[in-house]
Amino acid sequence: MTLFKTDGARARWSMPLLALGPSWAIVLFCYLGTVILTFRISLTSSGMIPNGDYVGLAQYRKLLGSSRWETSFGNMLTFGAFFLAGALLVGTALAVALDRGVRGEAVFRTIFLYPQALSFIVTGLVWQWLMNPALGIQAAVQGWGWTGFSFDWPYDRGMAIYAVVLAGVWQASGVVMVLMLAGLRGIDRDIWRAARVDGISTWRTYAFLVLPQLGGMLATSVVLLSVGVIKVYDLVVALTGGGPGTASDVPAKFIMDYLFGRQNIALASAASIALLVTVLAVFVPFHYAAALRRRAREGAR
Amino acid sequence: MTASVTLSGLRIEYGHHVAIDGLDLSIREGEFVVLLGPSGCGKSTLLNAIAGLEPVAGGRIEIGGADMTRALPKDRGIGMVFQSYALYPHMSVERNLSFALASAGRPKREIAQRVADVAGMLQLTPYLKRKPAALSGGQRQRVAIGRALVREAAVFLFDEPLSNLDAKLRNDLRVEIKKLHQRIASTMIYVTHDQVEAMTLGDRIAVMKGGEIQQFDTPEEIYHRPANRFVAEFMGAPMMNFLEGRIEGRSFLWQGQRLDLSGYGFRTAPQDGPAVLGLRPEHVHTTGPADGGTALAAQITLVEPMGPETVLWAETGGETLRIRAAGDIHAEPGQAAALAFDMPRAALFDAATGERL
Ligand SMILES: Nc1ncnc2c1ncn2[C@@H]1O[C@H](COP(=O)(O)OP(=O)(O)OP(=O)(O)O)[C@@H](O)[C@H]1O
Ligand SMILES: [Mg+2]
Repeated sequence: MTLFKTDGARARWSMPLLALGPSWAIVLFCYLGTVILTFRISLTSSGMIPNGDYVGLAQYRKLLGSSRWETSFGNMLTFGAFFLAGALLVGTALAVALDRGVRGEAVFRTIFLYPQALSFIVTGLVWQWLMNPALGIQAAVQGWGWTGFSFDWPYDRGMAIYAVVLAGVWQASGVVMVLMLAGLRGIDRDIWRAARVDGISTWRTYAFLVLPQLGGMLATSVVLLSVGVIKVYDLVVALTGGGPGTASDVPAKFIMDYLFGRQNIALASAASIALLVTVLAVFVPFHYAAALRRRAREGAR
Repeated sequence: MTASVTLSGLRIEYGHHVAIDGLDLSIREGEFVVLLGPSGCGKSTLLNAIAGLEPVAGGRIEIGGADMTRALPKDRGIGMVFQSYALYPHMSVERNLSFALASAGRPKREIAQRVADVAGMLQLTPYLKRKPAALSGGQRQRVAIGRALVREAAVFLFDEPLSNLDAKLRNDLRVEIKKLHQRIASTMIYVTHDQVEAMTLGDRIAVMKGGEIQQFDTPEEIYHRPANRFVAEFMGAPMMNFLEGRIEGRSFLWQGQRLDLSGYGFRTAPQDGPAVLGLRPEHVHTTGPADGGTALAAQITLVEPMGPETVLWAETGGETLRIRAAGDIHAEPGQAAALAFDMPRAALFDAATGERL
């Protein structure tokens, strides 16, 4: 058994290789393999099933010329910005409120985290009811006498994507809250005492002394939420169905539609690749900068 | 700046647990007072109460003659240094020092001046741009002291500031704190459970136990004339020897020996009865009595050379005594010794109450 030679450098490498091998194989073949396959299909004129008829970048040209793609992509950016900001703000605010020592903290924590346990489909349906003009909040408030009140975002072309944002924030704030609360609890109690002796107000202590120490928790939250932004699909389907028209369409839904509904897998593949490139364009420089900063910090020691 | 601190009838509760009950303490202007005691005796609680970080259930706190019992921490004219340093980790040393002043809206030039002064005093000038993570433990603690100093408080409170440092650094910083006190002459209240720190730093030491002050006096008094058996046991290493016997007339009867008490300064006229004789290890001599008194036959069981001194353990009449001897003494376990007690410097305690007689 030469593989298990115990002497020298080979032994040092063979065991880890043996252990990590299968997962690397999966990454290489399944992940990278499918990416390459998708890329190849995106260069063809495939319809319902893949064919070998290469048409160069024609699908990409078609994609970039498509107004529906443009709307989807724009919606993803809008959703991403408002969803991230909203979930971070609401989650942090809830965490600070709990940290201030509300009575029955455990109960509130569970209530706020509860939406996270729901599938996006359920969240979408709940908010669809709430924002349904005939059944939801609008009907209730109008019933109380404010007849001018209107709250029908899913049915308003300009507001539909914000309806998705609202439901997304409602669902995701709980996780941010739990992460931030854990971070707040990890802060040295003496920092608070020092700040009190120094006469620094509570809000200034949070803003300048405590929250800036939660960078790690913030980064974790941003990563978790960002994944949600790229994947957002089921929420849209359940809440607005991408409508009215295509007003609240998102890339994931665009891809699914062309893949299964419209049987144009070449265009769907081109859209997937475009989405992947976008993610890489954001992630790679970010990751690189973080690695550089880490190296600089280690170098300074 | 400096101020007196007076506590009267202070009471502090944690729920149903009374941590401190009716404590009085009067600290003079510019005094360095050490709060000393075993873990859980209420030192931090007391310090936090003076700082205004712990609500007071009863009694009164005066700082500089003004009633501060309910005042906010920032209005008490205090600066505080914490055991964990409590530095703001994401801010440079400079920002750490200046943040409180900037928050209070002080003019920029004044802030810069004070930060420069304090940094110079604590030799922090080369590190002003660094983050706390890039400092050694001693430097961090100096920043923490500096942060208290910039506020130009009249009273400085320290809660075990050196306990996270190694022995060498602790000695260095102890000396620095002492010099600092001589220089700025503010009142300082310093919590520790290290008796060397207490003895070397304090103008007066308050020895605490179970939320009560056992003795509040100068280091010399505390060491040489402990008010009760607890203080005598707590102060001094190796520990004081305690011999249980009886007082009869002007003598202490122990193991058939009659030890002369004529040189002992009784607080009140002594009564015959059971008592405990406390002898510091340095007040037991191995060279026999100098003035022709009776010597006690003992056998050495253990020898601990410490460099400047040697600690001997000697057995006599079923009791083991600790003896502090010269560093160059030649002693072997098993060797016989003739012991003599320095009776005028001994301490006598009531057998029942443990109070000094
Ligand atoms: N937040 C609290 N809640 C309840 N009891 C407390 C609290 N803080 C302190 N205590 C109790 O009050 C007593 C005094 O505590 P304190 O922290 O003042 O002791 P200490 O002398 O500073 O001890 P150490 O040397 O370990 O720091 C202890 O019996 C402790 O259990
Ligand atoms: Mg303490």
